[in-house]
Amino acid sequence: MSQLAAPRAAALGARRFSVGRTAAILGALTLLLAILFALGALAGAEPLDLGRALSDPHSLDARILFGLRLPRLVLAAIVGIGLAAAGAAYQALLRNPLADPFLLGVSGGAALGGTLALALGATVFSTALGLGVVSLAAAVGAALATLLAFVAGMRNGRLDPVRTLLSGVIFNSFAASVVTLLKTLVSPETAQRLLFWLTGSIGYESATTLALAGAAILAATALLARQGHALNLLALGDEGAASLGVDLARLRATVFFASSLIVGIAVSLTGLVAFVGLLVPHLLRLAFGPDNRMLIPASALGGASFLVAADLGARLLFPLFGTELPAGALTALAGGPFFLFLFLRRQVV
Amino acid sequence: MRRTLAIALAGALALWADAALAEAYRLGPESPPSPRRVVTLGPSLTELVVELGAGARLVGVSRFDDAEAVRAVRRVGGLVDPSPEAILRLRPDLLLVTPGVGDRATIERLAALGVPVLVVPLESLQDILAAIDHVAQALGVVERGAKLRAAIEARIAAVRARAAGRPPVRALVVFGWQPLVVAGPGSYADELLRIVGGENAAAELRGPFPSVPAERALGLAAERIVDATFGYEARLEIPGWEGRLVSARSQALARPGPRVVEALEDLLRLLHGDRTTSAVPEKEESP
Repeated sequence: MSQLAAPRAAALGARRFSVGRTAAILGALTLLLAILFALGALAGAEPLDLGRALSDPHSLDARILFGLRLPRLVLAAIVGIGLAAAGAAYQALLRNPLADPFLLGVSGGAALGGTLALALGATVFSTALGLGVVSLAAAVGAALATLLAFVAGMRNGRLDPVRTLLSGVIFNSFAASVVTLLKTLVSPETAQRLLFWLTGSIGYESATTLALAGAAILAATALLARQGHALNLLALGDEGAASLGVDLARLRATVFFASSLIVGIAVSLTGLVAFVGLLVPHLLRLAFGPDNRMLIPASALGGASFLVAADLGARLLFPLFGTELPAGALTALAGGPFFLFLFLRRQVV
Repeated sequence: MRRTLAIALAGALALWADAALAEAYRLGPESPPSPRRVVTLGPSLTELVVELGAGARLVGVSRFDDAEAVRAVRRVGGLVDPSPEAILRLRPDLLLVTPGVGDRATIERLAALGVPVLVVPLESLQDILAAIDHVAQALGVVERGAKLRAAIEARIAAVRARAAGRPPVRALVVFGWQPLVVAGPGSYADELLRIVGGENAAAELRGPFPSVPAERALGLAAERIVDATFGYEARLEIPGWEGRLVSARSQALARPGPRVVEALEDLLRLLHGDRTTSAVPEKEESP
């Protein structure tokens, strides 16, 4: 080892991957999630008597706890897990710290799909149209937009990260313009509802929906976590990783499909909850290092904590604003300045 | 071929009619015959409850409610973003809402948790009259509802009679200045305009709330331009509109509800510069 490399290796040494260290990190993050989950169940817009909630299933407290708070917390956790894991995986796959599912055209695609459904539905079916069709259209739009970014990003059989991200960003702008056009077709009231939905909010889903979405997102996240080692090797570049035995095509396809599944489900359930996929992996990378074997599962847990906290914040802030802020507004509020900070940092480094 | 077209057209019309005649419906358990704890999500619904003499039964209203009668009543959030916890905690035995996309899941969840919900469409004159019946029935004040409905119908007829025989006035109702948003065909304001002997200058535009370039708006050749922004927006100076601009006083023009007569009388005054009420094209009026 050369003299020059020694301090760097020493610095990295503290962050070297070990099963014990990873287990400790994941354990701590699980504990954090459990604490936030408990806080989320106990606190909200209204006071809650936990004893009465648990002893009398017909009490108002039981209905608030089991009917309102827990389903929302579970939804926040599921979506947070998926979005943050997908963000971490995309950042590794594209070797770019700014990669985020929503930057890859997802926000534009979802907005476009949802608005199309709402604009067509509002003129043809009036308000009989449920949120279901809008959500489905948004999920399809999100998946198609991601596919577009990846197809546009391929050059000579290789995935060019900058091309991919740029295509996503350009598509988002394009979609935003089309959405503005489409908004003229719907009433201001529908436009306002659309805006609220697009901001991203944690609402209420049936137990079946939660179970199915939870199973699918957990499976996709586990699949992403399994790619941790291959994604680490990808830091050496395409040739480097391929020479070490990484099947690039398979890795790309796996990450793409698992992440698309996650993002599609997340968007259809909560709209566009911004910055979870960007903020959480970066925070954890700064704290615990860049090893994807640890980072992807850690991001999943951190993302769940982040969204559970955002939803709790939305409910606690109710007396202040006289309305429930959409959780997406809170995550963007935290994410916006952080995004800027990343940019500034990149200029310095 | 013509037959196929006719069938398709009939089908489309049936769909359209179906959508236009949205019915009121109930969710969740039955409300008691005379509910004592009522929550409304929407100022028009609040006004309706108050008009039906049940204002004292209101325990929660939306944050957009500005009526004096409910100043001290608890706020439970917005129309698309109410706080379900706050609503549930009020133990309402009747929740009145208008149908919507954004709040659907929340309202359905509240119904599933035992809150009796009545969903009332409120977008047209016909909706308002039907809503009076539905809400009166839900509140157990059917007679009072019948009286209110009859009174409103009589006053609408009176406005119609006052407007009849006057030359039609080509008018444009402005809901926003930047961008310029006007009342298009199929909107509530369009319906009211026709009752007071107005002719909607924006009738050929598309959709209930079209956004129009200023020069196109000028080309619509309106004799009266009704500013219905209620001072929330700075007026756009459009050359040629001087002297034709009038300000709506009644916010009921933008809010289908039991104050429909107030909106109609306001429009009548603005369009015809009625001799019985002293209204003139102006500059000085404040909302």
